[in-house]
Formats: sequence, structure tokens, C-alpha cells
Amino acid sequence: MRTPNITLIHETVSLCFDEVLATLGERTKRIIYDFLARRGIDREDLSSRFDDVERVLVELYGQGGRSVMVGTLAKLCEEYSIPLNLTYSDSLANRMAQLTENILMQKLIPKHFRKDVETRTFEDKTGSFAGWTD
Amino acid sequence: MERAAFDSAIQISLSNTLRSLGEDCLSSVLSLLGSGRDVPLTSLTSYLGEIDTVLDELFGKFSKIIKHVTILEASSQLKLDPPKLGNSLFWMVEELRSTLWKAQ
Repeated sequence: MRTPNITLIHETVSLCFDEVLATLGERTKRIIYDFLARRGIDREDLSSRFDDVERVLVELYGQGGRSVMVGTLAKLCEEYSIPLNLTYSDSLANRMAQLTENILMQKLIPKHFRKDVETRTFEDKTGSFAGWTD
Repeated sequence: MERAAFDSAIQISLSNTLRSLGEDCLSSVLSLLGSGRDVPLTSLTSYLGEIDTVLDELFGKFSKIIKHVTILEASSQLKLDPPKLGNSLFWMVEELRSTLWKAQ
């Protein structure tokens, strides 16, 4: 199994952000990605530029836009099975930094990655496709 | 677990989620719930049916994310698996309550 590293955290944050945007509908999701791209923020930059993304969304949608960032943090915590505890920090970007540090220190692995590895291992061993995959 | 402890977990999760969006978000929700007069924070859970409507009116499609975050945080606090995430906070809370009841 790959050791937990910063790249895996970036990938997981992007995945969580994408899942949260999906709840808003495909059109809104496309608009937000397009708006971020025009501000020079690519999908892989989401976790490293968390405060910039937050600023853009608040500018675009007001305080409701911030819910996307809170939702991303909540999903990230669910992926790594750690508590969200929003009150532990004065800003969402700081909480993101705290969570990243926590994940790296505890060498945590996200659920989606564990499931991928379990599926690949099962398929390699049996030579057949796992029943829980599509 | 007592009903009061469960309600408290929901209330704390919802108020923390709203506070994280901005200073005045929680007070706006409390004010709308009481039709201009602030509802006490401690009785927030007795307005769950109305909270769904108030969140939808205030935040539009973003209300769904706020409801999901509230349920994810409450589930984490209560050490329960979150229910299937849907559109209604009221029903997700009821599902979570039912999960807790089954676990006991």
C-alpha cells in the first residue's frame, strides 16, 4: 500500500470538492470549475489554494458559497475518519492546514483509496473482477 | 443515550456549521425561525421541520450542503454511521435517531 503523502491528500480534497459540487447539479459544477480556472486555480490546486477558492466562491455566491468549502472539509474528514470540529480554528483554510498536518502525522489513508487497493488485491489474487465494482 | 444528548449533538453541529459560513448566518436563521424574534439556540432542534424551509429560503441550493455537513458532523460526534444524505434535515435526523435506537 502506498504511504500516505501530500499528493494523496490533494487528490482526496479534489475528489471531496467534486462530490460536494455534484450536489449542486452539473451546470453549477461546470460554472464553478470554469470560474476557478479563469482565476488561475486548477483542480489540483484546490487544497494548496483553499483560501483563494473560498474567496472566489464567496465572491460568486455570497456566504452560501462558503458552504462548498465546509462541505469539502466535512467529506475529507469522513474519508479519513477524523472529526471535523470546525470550532478548532478561526478560518476554514487554517482548519484545512490542521487536518492535513494531522493526516500526515498519523499516516492516515482515505477510505476511497483503501477500497481501490482492496479491489485490486482481490482481483489480482482471484483473477476475476470484484463483485463490488461496476 | 438520552434524547437530550442526541438533540444537543444536532444543535451543536448545526450551529457550528452555520457559524462557519459567517458571523450572521446563525443569527439570521434564529431570527427567521422566530419570525423576527430570535429563537433560543438551545431549542433549535424543536424547529427541525421549519429549519429545512428556512435554510432553503436563505441559502438556495447551498442549503443541501449545509444539511449534509450538519448530519456528517453529528454522526461523527455520536459515533454513528451517517444516514443516506438527502434533501431534508428533518428526515436525516430521524434516520440518525433510528440508527442510534437500533444500536442501543
